[in-house]
Amino acid sequence: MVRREQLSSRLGWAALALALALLVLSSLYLAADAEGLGQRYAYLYPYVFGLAAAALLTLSAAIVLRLWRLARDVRAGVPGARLSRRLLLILLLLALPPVGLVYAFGARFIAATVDTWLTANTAEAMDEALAIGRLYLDDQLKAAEADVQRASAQLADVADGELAVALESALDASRASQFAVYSDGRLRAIAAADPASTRNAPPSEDMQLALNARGRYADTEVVEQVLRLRVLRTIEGSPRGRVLQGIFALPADYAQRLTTVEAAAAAVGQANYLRDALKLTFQLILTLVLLVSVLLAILLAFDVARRVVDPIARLAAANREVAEGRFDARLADNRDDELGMLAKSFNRMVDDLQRASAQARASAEDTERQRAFLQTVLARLSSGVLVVDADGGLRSSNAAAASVLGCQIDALIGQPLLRLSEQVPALSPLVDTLLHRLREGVREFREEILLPRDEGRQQLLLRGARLPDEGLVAVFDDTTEIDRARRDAAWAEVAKRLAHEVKNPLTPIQLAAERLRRRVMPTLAAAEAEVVDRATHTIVAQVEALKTMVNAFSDYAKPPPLARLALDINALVAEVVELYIGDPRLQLSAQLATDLPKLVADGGRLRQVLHNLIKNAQEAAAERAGVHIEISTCVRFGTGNQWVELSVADDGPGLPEGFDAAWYEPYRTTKIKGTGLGLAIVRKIAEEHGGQLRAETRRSGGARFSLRLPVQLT
Amino acid sequence: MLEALDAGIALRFNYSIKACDDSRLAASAIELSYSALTRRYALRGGDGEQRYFGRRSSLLAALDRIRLPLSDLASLQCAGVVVLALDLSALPTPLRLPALLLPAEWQLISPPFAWSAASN
Repeated sequence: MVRREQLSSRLGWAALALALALLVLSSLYLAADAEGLGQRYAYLYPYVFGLAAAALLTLSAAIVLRLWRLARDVRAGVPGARLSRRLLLILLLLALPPVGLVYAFGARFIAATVDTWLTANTAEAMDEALAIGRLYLDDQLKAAEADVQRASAQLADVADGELAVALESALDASRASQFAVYSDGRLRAIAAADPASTRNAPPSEDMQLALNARGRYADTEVVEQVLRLRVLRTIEGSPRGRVLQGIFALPADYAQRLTTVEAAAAAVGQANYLRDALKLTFQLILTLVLLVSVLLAILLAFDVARRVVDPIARLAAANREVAEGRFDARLADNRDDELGMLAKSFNRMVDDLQRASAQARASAEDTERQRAFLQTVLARLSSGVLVVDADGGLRSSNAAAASVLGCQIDALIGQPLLRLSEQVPALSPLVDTLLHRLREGVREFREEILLPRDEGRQQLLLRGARLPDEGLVAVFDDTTEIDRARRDAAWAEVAKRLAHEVKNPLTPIQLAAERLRRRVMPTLAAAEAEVVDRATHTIVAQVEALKTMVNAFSDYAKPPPLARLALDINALVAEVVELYIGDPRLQLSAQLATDLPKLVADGGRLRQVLHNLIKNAQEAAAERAGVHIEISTCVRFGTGNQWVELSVADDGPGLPEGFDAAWYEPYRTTKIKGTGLGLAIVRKIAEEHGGQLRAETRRSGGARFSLRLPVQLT
Repeated sequence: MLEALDAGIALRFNYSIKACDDSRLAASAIELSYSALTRRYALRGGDGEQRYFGRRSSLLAALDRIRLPLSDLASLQCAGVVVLALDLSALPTPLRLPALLLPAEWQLISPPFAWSAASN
C-alpha cells in the first residue's frame, strides 16, 4: 500500500515535471519562432499550443487537487493542515505580486519596444525611397521605350534574311542587353549585348494581350532575383506582324539598391501591419512564462509548505497520541536541524512519560487492589462504617451501615451528612455527634448513641478516628439487642436471687403468722385479738403478694419452653374476651379481621399477652370503672413480611410522657399496684415469637399496644 | 488577409490532388505577392511561372484560371479531388497566432472539388 502510494506520488510528480517542461519548451519555441525559426518548424505551431494548453490544464488540475485536499484536511482537523494553509498563503503572497509586477512591466515593455521599432518617419522614409526608385524605373522605361521605338523604325522594311544583321546594328545603337524579333509567336531573330543575355525569353500571354491592346508593352520584371525591363513594340509595316522585344538590364549597383530598398520597404510595411500581432505574440510568450512561473510558484509553495509542516504535523499527531495515552508514538530524529532536535526531545519526553505512566499505572493498580481489599473487608464487616470528609460530606459507607441505620445510605454518598438526618430524622443523634466530633478535631472517640426508633430506642456503640485528610471514619455497632440481653440476664439473676433469697423465708413467715393466729389469738382479749388478727392477716396477705411477685419474676427469668402449635388468633381472642364478660370494671369489644392466616405460636403465651395487656389497660385507668378496651386483629405487610397484628386499645390516659423502650423493662411502671413485669413479659413473648411490640397514644385518647407476629416465621 | 497581401506579406496556397484510392498524386503551391516598388501583384504558379497584375482584382480574377499539373494523370480512369488551402505555416510568425485564433478569417480551405481524368 505504501509502495503504491509512493509510486502514485512519483508518477504525479513526473506528470507535473513533464507539464512544466512542455510549458517551458512551448515558451522557448514561441520565442525562437518569433526570432525567426523558419518554415521548417512552422507546422509545429498548433501542436505547441495544444501541448501548452494540456500542460496548463494538468498543472491547474494538480493545483486544484492539492487545494481540495488541503481544504478537506482543514475541515477534518488534520494536524498541520491549518499551518499548511497559512504557510501557503504567505508563500503565495510573497511570490505572486513580484511575478504580477514583472508581467505588467514586461507587457508594457513589449508594447513600448515594438512601437519604437517602427516610428512614423521610418515608414515615410521608405515610401520616399520607393518613390525615388519608381521615378528611376519610369525614366529607364521611357528611355528603353525610346530605344525600342528607334530600333523598330530601323527594322520596319528589313527583309527576313537581313533581319539578324539589322537587329545587331539596332542593338549596338541602343542600351538594351537583348533585342529579339517574334512573329507568329516564333522567334525570328535575336541579338544580345553579351553572352549572358542570349537566353530566349519570349513574352507571356499576358504581355501579348497588353501589346495587342495598346500596341506596346513596357514593364519591369524580376528574373532570378534580378530586376530588368522588358519592352515590346509591334514593328510597323513589317511582314507577318513582327514584334520587337527589348530587354534592358539595369546597372548592377542601381538594381542592387532598388532591390534593397524594396525589401526594406516591404519589411517595414509588413512590420507596420504586424505590429499588433507581434505584440500579441510576445505577450503570449510572456503569459506562458508567467503561467509557468505562477504554477511553479504555487506547486513549490505546496511542496515547501508540506516539507516545513510535515514534521510539525507528525509532531502534532504524535503529541495527540501521547495526550490520549498512547506512548508508542515516536518521531524520526535523523534530521540535523532544529526539527531534528525537537524530535529527539519529544522522543525523550515520551520515554519519560511512558515510564512515569507505567509507574503510575502500577501504583493505581496497587491502590485499586488495596481499595478492593478494603471494600471487601468493609462489605463483610458486621459493624457499620461511615467515612466523612473534612467538609462534612459523606464519602463512603458499607453495607452494614445501611443495615444498622435502616436506610439507603449509598444514595447519599458525596452529599453532606446532614442530608442523612434530613431524610431519616431518627439518625440525627448520630449525625450530630459525628459532625460535632469532626468540628472538635479529636483524634479518636468512643460513645454510645441512642436513636429514637418507632419500635423503640436503638443503641449504637460508636467509635471514631480522625483520618489523615482531616476526615473522619466512624465504626458503629447496633448494641440494642446486646444491651437488652444483658439487661435480661441481669433481671434473670435478680429474679433467681429473689426466688432464692426472698421466697424461701416467705413460707416460715406465713406459717408463723398463721400459728400466731391459731395459738395466740384465742388467748388474747378481744381488743388485742383484733390487732393480732389484722396484723397476721396483713402478714399473710403481703406474703402471698410477695410469693406472687417472686413467682412472676421466676417465670420471667426462666420461662418454660415454647409450645408452638397452629393457632387461630381470633378464636384465642374470643376465649379471652369471654372470660371478662360480666366484669364491671371494664367493657371489652373485639374487631377481628376475617381471613387471618394461621399462626404457629404458643397459645398459652399469647393468652398471657392478652391478659397482661388487658390488665395493663385496666390498671392504667386506675380508679375509673368501666374502662373501654378494644381488641382487634388484622393483617399487616411490611419489611418484606406478612404480619398478624393483635392490638389492645383503651380509652385511658394514654402513654406516659417519655415512654420509650425502657418502659418494657421490669419494674418500670406508673401504677401503684403491679409487679412492673406486665409489659416486660409481653415484650419477651413477642421477641420469643420473632415479633414486635409497639405502643402509641391514640388520637382519640388512650393507649394502644400492638403485637405483630410474623406469619412466615411462625 | 488582403490587407496582409497589400502590406507585402506573401500568401501561399497549397493544393493537393488526390486520386481514386485517396492517394496523393501531386502537391504544389501558388503564391500571391505584392511588390511595393513596381506596385504590381505577382502570381507564381506551381510551374514557377510568374504573372504580374497591376490591380488586385486582376490578380484575384486570375485565380479562376490556375493551371494544375494534371497531365500525368490523364491516363487514370477514375475520379479524384482537388483541395486548395492557405498555408498558415508560411505566414510571418506574428500572424500565426491570429490565424490560429481567428479561423474564420484565416482558415481558408476550399471544399473538395471532384475531377475526372476523362473530363480533362
